[in-house]
Amino acid sequence: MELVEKKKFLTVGQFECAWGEEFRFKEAGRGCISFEASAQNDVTLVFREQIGSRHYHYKMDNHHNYTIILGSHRNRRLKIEVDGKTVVDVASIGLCCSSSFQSYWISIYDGLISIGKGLYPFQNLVFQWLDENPRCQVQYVGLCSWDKHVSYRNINVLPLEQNNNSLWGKFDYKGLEERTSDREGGDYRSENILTLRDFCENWEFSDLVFEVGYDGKAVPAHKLVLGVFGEIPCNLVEGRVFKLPLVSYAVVRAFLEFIYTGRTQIVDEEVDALLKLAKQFKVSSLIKQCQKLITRLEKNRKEVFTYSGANVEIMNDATRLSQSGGFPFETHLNLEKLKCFLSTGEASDVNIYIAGYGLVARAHKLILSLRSPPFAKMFTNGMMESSSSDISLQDVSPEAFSLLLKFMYCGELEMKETEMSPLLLDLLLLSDQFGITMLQRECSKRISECLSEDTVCPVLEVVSWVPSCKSLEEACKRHFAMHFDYCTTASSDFVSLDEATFKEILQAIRNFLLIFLWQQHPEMTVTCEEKVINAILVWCMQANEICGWAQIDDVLRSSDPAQLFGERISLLDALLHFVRFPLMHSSLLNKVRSSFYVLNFIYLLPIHGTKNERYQHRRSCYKELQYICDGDNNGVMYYAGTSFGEHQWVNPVLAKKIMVTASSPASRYTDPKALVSRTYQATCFAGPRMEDGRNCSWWMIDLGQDHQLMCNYYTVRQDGSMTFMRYWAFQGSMDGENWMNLRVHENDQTICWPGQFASWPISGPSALLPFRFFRVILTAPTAGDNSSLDLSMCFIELVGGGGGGGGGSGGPHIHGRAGGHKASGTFFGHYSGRILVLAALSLSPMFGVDRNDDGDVDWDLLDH
Amino acid sequence: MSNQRKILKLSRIEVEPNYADRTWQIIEHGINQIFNHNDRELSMEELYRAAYNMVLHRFGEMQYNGLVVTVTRHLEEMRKSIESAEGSFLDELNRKWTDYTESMQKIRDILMYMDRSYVPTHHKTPIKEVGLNLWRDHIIHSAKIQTLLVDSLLEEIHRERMGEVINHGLMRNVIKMLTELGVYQEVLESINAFEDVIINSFKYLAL
Repeated sequence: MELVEKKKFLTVGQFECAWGEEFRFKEAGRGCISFEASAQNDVTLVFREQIGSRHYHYKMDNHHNYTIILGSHRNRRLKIEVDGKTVVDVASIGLCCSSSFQSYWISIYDGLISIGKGLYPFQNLVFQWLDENPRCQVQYVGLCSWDKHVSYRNINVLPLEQNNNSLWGKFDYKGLEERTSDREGGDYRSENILTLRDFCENWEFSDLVFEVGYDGKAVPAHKLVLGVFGEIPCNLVEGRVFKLPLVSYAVVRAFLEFIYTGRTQIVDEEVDALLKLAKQFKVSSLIKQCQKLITRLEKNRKEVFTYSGANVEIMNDATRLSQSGGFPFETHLNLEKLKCFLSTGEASDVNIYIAGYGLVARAHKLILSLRSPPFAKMFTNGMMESSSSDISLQDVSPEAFSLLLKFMYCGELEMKETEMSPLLLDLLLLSDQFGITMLQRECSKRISECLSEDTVCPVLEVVSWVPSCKSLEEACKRHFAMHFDYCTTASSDFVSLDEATFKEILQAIRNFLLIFLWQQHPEMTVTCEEKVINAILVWCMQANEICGWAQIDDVLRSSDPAQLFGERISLLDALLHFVRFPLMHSSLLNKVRSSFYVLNFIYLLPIHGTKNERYQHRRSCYKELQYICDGDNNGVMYYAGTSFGEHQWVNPVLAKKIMVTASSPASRYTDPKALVSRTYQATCFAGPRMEDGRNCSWWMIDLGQDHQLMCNYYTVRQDGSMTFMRYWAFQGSMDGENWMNLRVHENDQTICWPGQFASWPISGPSALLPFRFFRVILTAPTAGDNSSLDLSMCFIELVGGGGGGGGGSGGPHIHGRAGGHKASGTFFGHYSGRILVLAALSLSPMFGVDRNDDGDVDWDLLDH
Repeated sequence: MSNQRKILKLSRIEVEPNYADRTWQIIEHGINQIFNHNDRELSMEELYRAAYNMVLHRFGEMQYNGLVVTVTRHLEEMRKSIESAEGSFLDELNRKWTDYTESMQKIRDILMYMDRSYVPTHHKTPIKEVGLNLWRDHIIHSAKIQTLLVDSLLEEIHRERMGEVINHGLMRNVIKMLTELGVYQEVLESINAFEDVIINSFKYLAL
């Protein structure tokens, strides 16, 4: 099954809509899209014949379309509209949006719309609706929003294939994996995974032979399969050969094909014979289909009086259902019966032993091969196991293996406990070892559901070994970072984490201040830097007991650091970079500074001289703002204009929320309020002034005494002139006098037309430093014929906070929405580069770098 | 709570200092046996488990490199035997190629876990391709074999043109091998004379 996949991030701004060739059903009118979305309300999907525009609006569409809105009416209802008419409007039965990502899937099959939750299409169906008058041409999917932006990710467009194997259909979704790393194994899977279809008329593992017709043509089959779908006649339970001299090969073939694949074709005059054979084996689903068919044929025959000799198609109800997005696994298959085969060992062809334990099960090579590629190879590739009916496994827990076996037979994990248990971890490893991805996913899901502060560490330790558990690993790291204090003080388990994992956790805490929505985790306290130091030292010592840095320092005075830290001493330095010393209380800082003189990382600690700074750790408060596109409503300037969310936007300069100053005196063309006004100004510049004997031109923004920003993205807009800046710097300051470069631009050619927006990320440590003042300063004359020292720009916006890499790919992002320059695919410009930027604006000081009047913090500290 | 934490300690295999070497020896022995057609005696379970544990304990790279070295050694032996089989060169080449692909298939089976997790996460070439590349580099690109191959192919074609009956199946297999390796064009180009005649013949045979 081919899979069109896009796993990247996609954010759709207000009243916008994203389209693309990749969001297209292979077959018109039939397809399924699965995705994750995060929004406050109105996750809207439009299905239509043609691709729509970015500003597409389903209310104004004259063409046929289905529109599905999850979380309509302020996130309370589920709505489906057909051609703009509301046909379904129900209280949303668990189909709401949330600001964390939720997974959904929507399948459309000739007007049958199914909507479900979860990562796996066709599971967890929540709502279904049938269009009496199906729009069979819909093919393109538009991902839209309403009045709030919507973020989409992991978008998969899947075909609904005609011949989904009814029984094992669920396993057919080979590539449909949870996360990146799982997906990378795609090739391996498509090649190795077998389906029941592969065993139709296959001699492999066959334990039953039909001798068909007078010439006794031998046709292989499997008792197990026939037994699950029907019943094996008594006289055949022991025997191996079943003679069918009066039946033609075509009938037997159709019979087997129906059972193994769920559908078949047969000449109409042979339907009777097929029915007879089906009755012999009591294959109830086939009997039912044949009878239906015969009634229909008889009706036809009254008119025509003869068989037409044409092929008629017989399809299992379940197959049909699975095509329309039902549940392939749970339909007609008698799971109880299949389990019975496992427990009784009937028709089994392999005995599984576990070394040191004995026989665990009498199983069926067929089932094991269907579920696990390594087992399939083991039984067929000609090595020792292939010719033996016994296999012996080593290093396997019998309990976990029994669960694994049961899962292979019935597709369910029979484990009632919701608590974390070592068994679950064993099972996770075992399913990974034997390549049973469904079970691995199930285990990952369960483990991540019951992660706790106490269990996260051991789980993480195990999971970081398994390359295909990336998503669970991520979840664990997040959990660990969120409960960093607890996890690093309650036990010393964390010292056994490997270097990469530990580093990532430290990185995560650094970003924590910014990323994790304070509103959602009010209990989450910002980890105190002292704890970070402790954790790093303990980890490097690989200590068995938790101890503080002061203790370690004492020990250090009397012993050799190399001995104390062992092989991890080399990592110490790198790890200590993760500590944000400026955020530490000054008395503590002084203490730390006076310690560790033995270690050479002392240079990391700032020298404060005689100044008396007062650092204070305050509970911080964030606002999550997301950068979507230039000139959007998600930056700090805009937010300040609403008095930080309190009222409608007014110009923040007029409202005195923000101060804007230019290097030259205010005038008609040097208007502070224009710079944040959100309207385009044809002429707006700051002229040069003499400072320290140099001509300087700058625009400066003062966020006010109560606010600081860790800026990691800024946007400017060129005014209507052609004086483009080429050499300039973006700087931050705490006092408006001492400036630190946040980003320096040298001959940056990004801005090249009037009215152009351009944005740049701030990366590196400076993105983590909060500032009150920001300015854009020209460092050399502008480009163009009339080169000047005027800094021409008519808009500036700051976005702060940051995702992992401290602000994306590092290159400039140009979005020409102004001045008639419409760059094509602007939207996907963001889409491609992981440029999710969260903004954090402190309502009260961010982490309270609260200082005295003459407080001059050594910010260069982290700028190594 | 704390009890819970205790039981979660995993029963992982303790990594002894020479763990990786010992495990690799098992796998290497397996690979050698596969090339020597003694694989009926091998336990897939044991080999798969060894290979799995090695990758899990982050010795994926060692396994990967070891595979390349071992396969290369066997290819060198094959090269010698092909080069010395003068009379029935194409036969010998074809026989060795069939052996080789079968062996590689089995090696892929035992190293399946590496193929599934180590190879994609470390952006390595999948084992199947590695196998083809090694065969191409060591066998087909060996100067002596290349000349022999071109000469033999030409001779066969010539014989057919003279009205003799040649082994079409053999020719087809050899040419299929060349296409699979992606060197078909390359081999063709080394034949300067009768070029289009040959292309036509090849096309006919490749059908």
